[in-house]
Amino acid sequence: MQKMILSWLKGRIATKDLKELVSDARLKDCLEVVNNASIEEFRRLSRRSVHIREVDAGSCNACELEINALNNPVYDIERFGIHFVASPRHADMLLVTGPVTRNMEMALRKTYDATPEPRLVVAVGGCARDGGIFKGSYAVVGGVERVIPVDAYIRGCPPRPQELLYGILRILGRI
Amino acid sequence: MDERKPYIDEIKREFPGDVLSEDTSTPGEAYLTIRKESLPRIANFLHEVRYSTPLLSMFGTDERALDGTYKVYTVFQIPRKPVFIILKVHLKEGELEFPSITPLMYAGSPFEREMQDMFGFVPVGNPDTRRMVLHENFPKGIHPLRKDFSYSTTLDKAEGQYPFHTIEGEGMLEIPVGPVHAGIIEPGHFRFSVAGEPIINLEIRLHYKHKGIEKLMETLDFNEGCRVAEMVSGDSAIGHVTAYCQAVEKIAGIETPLLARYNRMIALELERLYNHIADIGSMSTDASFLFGAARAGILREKVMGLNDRLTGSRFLKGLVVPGGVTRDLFTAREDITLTLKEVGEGLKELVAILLSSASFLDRVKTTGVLNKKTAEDLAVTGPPARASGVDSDMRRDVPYEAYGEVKFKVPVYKEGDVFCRLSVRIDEAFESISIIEQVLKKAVRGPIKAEVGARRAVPLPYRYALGCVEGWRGAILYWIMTTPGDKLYRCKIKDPSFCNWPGLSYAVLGNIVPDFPLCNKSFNLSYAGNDL
Repeated sequence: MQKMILSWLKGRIATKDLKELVSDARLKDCLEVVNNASIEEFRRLSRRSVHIREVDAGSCNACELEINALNNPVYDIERFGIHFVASPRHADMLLVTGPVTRNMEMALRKTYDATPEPRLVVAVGGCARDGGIFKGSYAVVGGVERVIPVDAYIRGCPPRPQELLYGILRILGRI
Repeated sequence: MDERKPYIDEIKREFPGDVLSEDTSTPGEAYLTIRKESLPRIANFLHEVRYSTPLLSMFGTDERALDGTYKVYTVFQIPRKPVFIILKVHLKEGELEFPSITPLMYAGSPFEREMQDMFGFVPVGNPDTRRMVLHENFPKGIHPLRKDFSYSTTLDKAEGQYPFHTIEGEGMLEIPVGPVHAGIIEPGHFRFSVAGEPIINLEIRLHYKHKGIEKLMETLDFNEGCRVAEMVSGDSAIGHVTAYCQAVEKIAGIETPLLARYNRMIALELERLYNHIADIGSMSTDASFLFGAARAGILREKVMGLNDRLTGSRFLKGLVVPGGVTRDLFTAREDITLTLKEVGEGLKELVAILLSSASFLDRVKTTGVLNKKTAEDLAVTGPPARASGVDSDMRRDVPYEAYGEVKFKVPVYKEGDVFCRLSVRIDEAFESISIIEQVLKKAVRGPIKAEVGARRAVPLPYRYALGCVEGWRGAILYWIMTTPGDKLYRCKIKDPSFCNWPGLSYAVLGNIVPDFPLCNKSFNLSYAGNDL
């Protein structure tokens, strides 16, 4: 199964040297799990369908474009039963991007509080990890973990849609 | 003859005694130091009376280290001419009031409010004195762009309520939306006041993503700054970094090689192309025509894939640097030509399908009208301006890089509705393909990057210049001032979204709330670029 999905991820766009761009090593490298216990528990409960609420807490918007691309017919995340929803109240997973700015701190916390448990928080991109190049700014709080607990990180600036899809499927235990 | 001279002479003639000094040391830019009191009059003369020049930018600087004063710069461009008139006003410490230009030209208001937050200047006469960039959580009396404020200051948390405008009356209803929106988009707050379905007022509150980018720039030297410029607005990475590099190159007197200029043009047009295709798709989504969105998604992915093969980044990051480019896209000439041929054909098909759908056209025509006068008054730029009959395009008017060597049309429509903004994007997407084809036919050899960074024996004094690019959203403007050690002393970034957001709040008036997403997408503005 894993092999099948990996080869599907790679073969989905007909590019000449995609192999190089999305090598197995690179894909595996893009995910960092920090809270295994919560992820195991989550997998047990959400076996078939997962609803994601995306929250931009201060990104440059490149991460949003790549997450958006997951919905296009090329990556088509819906075929795995994964949907993006309009409200945190409908969500199982928060996908958070950007360094958290001071002006977004409260909105992010409220969004987290509105998400019913069990829930996972996945931080996307370099800025969400620790603030990235904006670390230490007077207007930035820092990485997502400074505001809400994070279960896993998907790396990249921004991560490619293939990497996002791989990361999410890995977290869900699908591959 | 110097193109700037007639304009400078006329201003001096009209306002005797008000112009204190002039500086024309940077090509194409005329800096006029004027008396503080005369700012609104001279600005209005340029904007309304004589040339109807758009206000491009307005910003403050803290130049206490140089001559003990703060300054306010107001940037105008003479329409269709590569001439920038920059009015300069000195503010002494302790006397930070200056006469607001807002009562005469509304476009000045957001710029003045920004300066009020970031420098503590007081625009006397601006009816809107609410805070803008720094939300209530910032303590009062903080002015981050002053030189005595450090980038890494840790601030206390304050509390407060933002005084939104309220519209009262029988049957009036307020709909607050955001900052976390329903879609996968950036944060911002929209407050609709509606009477039944029609929108009576829309107040847009932004700056949720304020990260202190302009202050961050001041800690960097001019080679480092270009990496940050790419992260101002991810979807306009090339537009921003090119404008940044142009300003830096003017300051350092670097002549970019021709091959590098061609490469930058290819990158700029690829960026325009993938974004315009995405917008055509998202306008279809918001008109519930999902087939169009799916087709556009596939086409856009083809361009993104091409970007990735060309530069290793789907957003073309890392390509443009001061002095030139880091790799030569001409080596992939065949790949570019083939991909664009495919994309062009696909786009033609998609457009034919869209424009033959009566239900789609019904949604986009006469929706979200922005009239020409409002567009001019608000200094709206880019596709929304051209859709409303404002004929401006920096690529033609200030032919930077090598845009003077290629032929392209600047589409201008009159009605100013969603359909016109869609049409501008469709036309421009095809023009972009044609520009890249023309550029690829040019046979050039030579270096792709000029020598930069050699330390000078005698450091240059404080110097400044503008960089200006027609990004896919409109005119991107960088104004950079460097210190003698090649550090960035001040970097003012103006993303086209900054002036286009107020345009959106006028375009939606009288429309029904369900058409708001469609209007919003037809502008497709950047929150990150606005908030900095």
